[in-house]
Amino acid sequence: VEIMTTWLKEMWARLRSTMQRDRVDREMEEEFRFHVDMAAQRNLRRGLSGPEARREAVRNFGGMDRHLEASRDEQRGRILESIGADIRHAVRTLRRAPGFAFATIATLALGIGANTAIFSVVSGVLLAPLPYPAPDRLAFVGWDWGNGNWIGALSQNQFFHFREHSSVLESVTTWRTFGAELGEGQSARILDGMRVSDDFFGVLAVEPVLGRSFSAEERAPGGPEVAVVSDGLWRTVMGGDPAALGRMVRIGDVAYTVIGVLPQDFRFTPTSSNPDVIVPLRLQWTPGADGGQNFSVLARLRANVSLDRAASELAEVSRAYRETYPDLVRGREAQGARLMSYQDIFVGGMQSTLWVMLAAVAFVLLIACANAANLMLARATGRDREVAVRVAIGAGRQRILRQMLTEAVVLAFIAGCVGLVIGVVGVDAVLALAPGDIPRREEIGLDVRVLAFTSGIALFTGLVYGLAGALPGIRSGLADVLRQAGRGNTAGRRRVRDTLIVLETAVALVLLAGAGLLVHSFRNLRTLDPGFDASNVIAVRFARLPAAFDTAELLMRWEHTLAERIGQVPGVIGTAAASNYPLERGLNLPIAVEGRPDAAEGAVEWRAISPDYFETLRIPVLRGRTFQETDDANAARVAIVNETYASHYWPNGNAIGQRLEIMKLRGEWMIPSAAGTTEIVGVVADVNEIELQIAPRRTVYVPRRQAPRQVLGPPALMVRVTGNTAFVPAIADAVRDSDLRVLPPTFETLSSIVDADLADERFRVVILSAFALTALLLTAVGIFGVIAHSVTQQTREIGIRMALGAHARSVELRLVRRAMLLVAAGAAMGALVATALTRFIASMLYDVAATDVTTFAIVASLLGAVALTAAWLPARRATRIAPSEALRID
Amino acid sequence: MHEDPRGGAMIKGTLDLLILRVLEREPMHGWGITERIEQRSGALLSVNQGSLYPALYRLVRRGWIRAQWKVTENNRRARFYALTPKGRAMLDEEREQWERLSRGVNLVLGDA
Repeated sequence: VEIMTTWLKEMWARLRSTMQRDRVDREMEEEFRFHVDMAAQRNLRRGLSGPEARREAVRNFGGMDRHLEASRDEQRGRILESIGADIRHAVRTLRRAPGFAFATIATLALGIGANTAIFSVVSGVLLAPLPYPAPDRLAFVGWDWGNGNWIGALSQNQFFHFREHSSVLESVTTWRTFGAELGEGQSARILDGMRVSDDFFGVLAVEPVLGRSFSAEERAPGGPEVAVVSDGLWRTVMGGDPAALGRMVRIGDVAYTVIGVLPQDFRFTPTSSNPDVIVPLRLQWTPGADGGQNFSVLARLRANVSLDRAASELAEVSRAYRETYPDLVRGREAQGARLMSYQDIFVGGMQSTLWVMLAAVAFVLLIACANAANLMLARATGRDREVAVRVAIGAGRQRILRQMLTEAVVLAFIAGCVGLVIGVVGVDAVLALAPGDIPRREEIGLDVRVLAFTSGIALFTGLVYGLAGALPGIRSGLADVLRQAGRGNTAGRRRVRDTLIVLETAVALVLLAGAGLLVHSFRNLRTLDPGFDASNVIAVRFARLPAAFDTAELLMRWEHTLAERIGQVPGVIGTAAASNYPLERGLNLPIAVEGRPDAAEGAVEWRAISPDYFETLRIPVLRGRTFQETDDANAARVAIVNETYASHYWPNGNAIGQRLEIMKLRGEWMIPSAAGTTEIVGVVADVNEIELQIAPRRTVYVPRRQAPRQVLGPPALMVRVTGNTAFVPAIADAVRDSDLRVLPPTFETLSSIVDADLADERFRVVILSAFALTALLLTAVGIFGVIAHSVTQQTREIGIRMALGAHARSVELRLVRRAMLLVAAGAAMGALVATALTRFIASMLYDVAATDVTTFAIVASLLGAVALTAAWLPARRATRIAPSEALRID
Repeated sequence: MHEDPRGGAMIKGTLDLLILRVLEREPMHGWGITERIEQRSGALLSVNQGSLYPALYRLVRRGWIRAQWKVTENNRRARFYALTPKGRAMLDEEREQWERLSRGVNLVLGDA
């Protein structure tokens, strides 16, 4: 380590002085001038006349240029020349050993490339600050329920309170996203829109490049309808015409006046969106009345206010809030507002996955380093005499070490360049596998941070493997080398090479164990029965309904027609509509049981479904009945609950006939037109529809025909078909026939929605398995190399043995046994380390222990088998050595 | 001032020792070091500027002394050199070595 730091320091000093050349020269000149002046002054004091005193001093000092030259050499020149010489020498030497250079570069480039790819993702997702000016002053405001529970959002009342009362927040904003069509009918285009409150642009410190942002009047309730549009929309729809400002654009049902155009690269990171249009969100404050915790709030802190100070002031304001609105603060432990980073809120679970991957890929690099060091050691054996001669003619040991390190760094640098290319390609591969909701996906790519990282690890790699490769040879004495005709360091090197094999085997086993556990867990998840049959079901997704469907009756009439039309398509077995697809977030509503105060517990999963839902998804009805076409708006209100709900409140099984109070909060019906109780008419089996890994929650189903329009979105349509024939065009036709105003839907399979639920897991499994297999491959190459090298080294010995009648088998066996002993030691060590490390992925495992013995045994056998092959192949070669030839070597 | 044919020569390597010794008392600029060496040696030794500055830079690079721009009593900017702890240690070592060497040389000379 000390050698490394000295080496680094020296390199740094050289580099710095090279860059500061001018300054250094100027300073030296000034110093010399000072010297001459002082000498002249002394000469004056000694009685010489002015001009003569100066002349004398200058003459005495000698040629300033010559001194400059000599001094420069001392400060920089000579050293720089020698680093240049080192590099030139390294390149020359390496060109004489292209095979060695290629093998090293390929090995390292693989490791560096993989690291670059993963780090790019980590950098973009976790490390990059928000892409706005002074991002450190941006913070999200969430709500702390106490006991470690928090939510990254505020209620409307909280939002207003904190906006009004905290002096540390310069500006705050909240937003809603919406989709709205531009144009009409089948040719309409759906725009991504944002409604933003207050000083949205001030918080982000971003201003429209053309026009302006919203004025105070436009932000106030009742203000004019104005919009800021994206650069893309401005170019495509308004022809990029600056005169478009002030023009009216009809988006959805509203005509907006365009007042500004966003910068081209504008993105709103918190929603991962690139909004087409931004319009004011006008919130009305009714003090004391409050809704849910539904407002994401982004704030810009005042300049020079630290996060800590802001947090402590918010705590003060929160106390005041709790005192002012005791009835709005549920739970005695509630702490109040809390400042949060982007990571806290949006990256969440991805964080641990990414760190695990970064750790895994660092292990791969470690193995690559071990292999490169092994290559270098193998080569060093052949170079001993060269080194000895150089020592003999006066090269310092330090100098030779430096030469070898320079060689290693040169190779690592080339590998770094190749690795960068691999990394850039690799990022795309990683992103192709990554779940669609990976945060800030669009910001992932090659940036300064990634470049710095890659050059950093390239240098580090070069030093680490260079030292491991160079030191063992340098230590032993010159005399040994010469005496033993170039085999002087073999024993020392062999020990190092053996150690490296043990280490890389251990690391490979750790990676294999981690990947093995994830694969095991993933298999468990795949075979999990979600409670519904997703095969052969096409999901028809509607982004938005025509504004004309503004009553429940009109919407239901269309849904009925739609189901009828689709039902006529040959091969369609059944059609069902629901408020959401299984495994995609559904709505929670307050649902209580009549006469059971203990059952008034707020949010319960609520699903509005068509009568055919259970049949289409093949969810068994356990008791009672399913919905009928007759359960419509005019009929008595009915509901079906799932098994979990029924057994929770009625463990004895008499759920049917009980009455529910849906959407009744604190004694009041949330939607007056939907007031009244609902009778339970059936119980269905549980469905894992929140997430595959999450146990079913208490769920209440109601007929779509009885649901109030306010809580009905576009139907999540599911069509069960026979086999795999292409049904999409026929269904698309049926949709168009149902109503011309409906925008074309998108199609996917229900299985793909189920698969999407496992996207995170799949991502982890694929990436980690890829790393583990790379590690295995590299380790195999390492073992192969070491044994092949032993064979070459021991050619004479083997030849003699064979000449003396040793069996080929026994020679082979001896070599293989040695390799396998090393592998066994490495595997044992790796298993120990893995036992300690796998608990970091324990939370990512489903139904498999972090120290699952079967998995460990399987990966260990895999490693063993691969190692055996890698050792046996070169060992076999040894026995083909002809004794006569072996003896001729050297 | 002309070069003294006797004083000009200096045994290689002793310049470093002399510089360190001068700086042991107080930080000093290049000119001051020259003057001090000449004074203290009773003008027996004179320092060749062509080797003084390279020597100073070498010592800085080794971390035995460090350089800093300061203002002299006459209000001129000059680069002052000061001994570092490492330099102090090296001075002791060098001094010991020099004494051993000069004892040896003296013995040999006395012998002859």
